[in-house]
Amino acid sequence: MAYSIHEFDMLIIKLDDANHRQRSQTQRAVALARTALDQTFALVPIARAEGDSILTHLTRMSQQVSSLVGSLILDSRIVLDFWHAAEGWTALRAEASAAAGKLEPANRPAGAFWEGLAANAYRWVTPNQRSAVLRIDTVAHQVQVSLTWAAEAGVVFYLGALAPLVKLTAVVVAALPALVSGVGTLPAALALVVAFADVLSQLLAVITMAAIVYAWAKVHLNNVRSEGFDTSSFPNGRWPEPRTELYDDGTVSDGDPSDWRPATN
Amino acid sequence: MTQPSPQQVALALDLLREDADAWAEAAARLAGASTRASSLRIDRRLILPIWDEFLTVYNQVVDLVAARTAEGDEAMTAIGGTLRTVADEFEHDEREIRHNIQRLR
Repeated sequence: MAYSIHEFDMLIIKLDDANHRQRSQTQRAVALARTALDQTFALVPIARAEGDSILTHLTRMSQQVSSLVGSLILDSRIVLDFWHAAEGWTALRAEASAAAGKLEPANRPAGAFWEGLAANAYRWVTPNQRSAVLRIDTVAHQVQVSLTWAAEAGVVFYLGALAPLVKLTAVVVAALPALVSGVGTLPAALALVVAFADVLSQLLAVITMAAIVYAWAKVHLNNVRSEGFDTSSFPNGRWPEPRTELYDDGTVSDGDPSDWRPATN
Repeated sequence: MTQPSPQQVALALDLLREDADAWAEAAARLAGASTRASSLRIDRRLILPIWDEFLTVYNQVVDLVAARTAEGDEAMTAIGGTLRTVADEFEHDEREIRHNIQRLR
């Protein structure tokens, strides 16, 4: 991944600061532009009204973009959730892996030292317990992979979308006084059109790339849900039954012979 | 049928108890996995619902893992407990039988 959690967090904080700065600068720029408008078109009320209307529209648009940026910044915390959860699944895998290790046949030699119906049942019935543990280990790994892809899609989307949007509000704010100045209106309007087109193409590229990675994550996770818990490891959709009734008779003196006998050879 | 020697019985019982411990330890690991899985739900409310589909499936998987591992904990605790009870019962009866035989002699 191109960014660490910390780097991503710092970039988001910087973009949030920039967004807040733009908001206060917008107020100042609008006030300045209104003053300039009043002075330049004091004697041409129609032009003044048109300029005022442009100012109002651009200010509203700038506020909407800024509000969208604020929402994206809040939502971007989901990327950190994905990262932290991926770490959590690593820890869960360690638990499953440790459980599987405990259940390795080499760590449970009792079966080789006992004979009889119960001992046979014990040897026959219990291996599926370890298979189920190993399946949990696999599922945990696959979920971790899905989360990592989702986090990558999030990084691409949030950083890729926020940076040009914050830049766009800056361009609009900077252009406001020139837009209503009369002389500088045309160059400022052209600069804005170029900036809009630039941001739009960047957003499209970002959304396309993020959507592809996000689709991988979704498909992968859907497969984990459908295949990870199939009946081969979890019969009837549940953990394999321990069937202890088949090997729970250790008594010798209850009238029937014990189903467990120590091996004699 | 050849009768096992006291040493063979003792060894077999020790190993059965070792198996019981292994199941108990594995059960404890699965209990830990189940608790951890439950803590991995992602319930953040988003302004733009672009992750909703992913999060729905993700939280379903979390719930499945938490449920299955909790069942696994229960199953393995049962196996470990059964083996320990079997070892205790067998040892008790074996001791009684040997004691009775000695008394008859």
